[in-house]
Amino acid sequence: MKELQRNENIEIELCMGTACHVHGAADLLHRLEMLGNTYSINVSGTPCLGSCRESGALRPPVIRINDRLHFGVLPDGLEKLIAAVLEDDKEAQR
Amino acid sequence: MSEQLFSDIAFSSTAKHGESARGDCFLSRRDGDGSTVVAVLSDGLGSGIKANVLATLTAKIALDMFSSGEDLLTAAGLIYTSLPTCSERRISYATFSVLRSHGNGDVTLIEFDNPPALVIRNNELLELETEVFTVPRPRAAPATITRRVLHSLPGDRVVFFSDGVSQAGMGSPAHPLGWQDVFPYIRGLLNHNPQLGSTDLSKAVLRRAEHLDGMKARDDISCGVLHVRHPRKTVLVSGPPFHPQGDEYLASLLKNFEGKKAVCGGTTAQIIAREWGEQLHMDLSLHKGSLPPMSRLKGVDLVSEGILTISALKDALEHSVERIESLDPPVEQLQNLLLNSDSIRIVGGTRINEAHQDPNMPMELEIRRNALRSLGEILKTRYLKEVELEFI
Repeated sequence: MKELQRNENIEIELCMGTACHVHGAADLLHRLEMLGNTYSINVSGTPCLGSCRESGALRPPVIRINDRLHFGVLPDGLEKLIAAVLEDDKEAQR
Repeated sequence: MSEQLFSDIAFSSTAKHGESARGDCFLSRRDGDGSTVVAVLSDGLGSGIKANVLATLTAKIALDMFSSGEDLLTAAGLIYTSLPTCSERRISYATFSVLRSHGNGDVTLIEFDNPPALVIRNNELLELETEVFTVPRPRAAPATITRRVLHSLPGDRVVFFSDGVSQAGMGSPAHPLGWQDVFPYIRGLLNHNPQLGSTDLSKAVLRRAEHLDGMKARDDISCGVLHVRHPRKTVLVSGPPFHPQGDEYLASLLKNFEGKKAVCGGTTAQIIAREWGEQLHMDLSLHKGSLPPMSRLKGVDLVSEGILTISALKDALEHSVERIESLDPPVEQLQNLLLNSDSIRIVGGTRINEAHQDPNMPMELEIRRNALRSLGEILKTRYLKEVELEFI
């Protein structure tokens, strides 16, 4: 697994809308708070990212990491997901 | 909505320590157009279930009789002949205080054996002329009933309570005969906060009496408060309008509303923020409890999540105003906002959120329309608020 670098800046927007909340947004927030002790994560909340309300949309909770939306995120997979996003970002910059 | 003076009525009550049922009963009713309010407090003989039955019967008869405009002597006579007789004491007995607030500003106080209600104007006690009536009772001496009429002015308050309040702390060094002089405490509260609402004042008196009883109420303790005032208005909007064209209407309605403003719903708040050209801020540090945190929007007093918060509020209001356990911050703040309001306009948006139709969502997650309708009904019938409901 790619390890997160402590100095990499990560912007995360967490949807706290009804559907995301019911599907565990608060658990994600707690996990992010823990990861924030180790990594440079800037977390903000939003009342709704507006991405779950259309019929057939992917599952909540929805989270935006460095401008990309992710669906159905679980707390246990969060660190790995962030690492993958950062890796992708670096690939794109090369 | 009516621009006339509003009668803000609330009560707080607790059972005698160790009893599951309260021996005091408080009932109230506001008539169709909201102009007339009748409230009754009755204290049944003894405590527990037996007292509860006596008090409930008395309060119900009194509420129905005085709501329908029946005269005092007929109503009292019916109460005295209807009550069941205590098998031990061989008497049938329950006190009552009836407060009838008329649309023209007159407030009639009819009292039997409860501590006399305190009538307060400009933070001073107001003495009113008292009429005395004697009503025969079966198997007991005639009852003495008093009647006072207050020609109310904005700001007037009437505080009425059971003897659980006036006798609180009895036998203690500070209050050997009980908390007989309740008014100085109330005056202190009103000096500190002249706008104190009836809910908060009745709760404060209840808590003070409980404190004097060492937090183990030695009798049922009840306090009711009437506050005559210009109506405090609040609008609560929740849910996006069915047609996107309605967004502008909703934003304009909220902008032009004169009173407190609450927005319940993330998408709704975003619509308002967009239409007003304002920024919506969510502070995650405020996240405590089991509901999403509140947000801030300039010009709005409270911004919260929608359906979960409203459902939790509905449950809290249905459960009781006397609950001591803490509520989630958004629910508590929304409850305070609404209970300190007199006239509440609820505007529900009816656009369906597809994500809420997911079968994995909790069963309790009601259709917004039903939840708002139930909330309005509770505020109207149990808390005697003027409620106007609109769906867009």
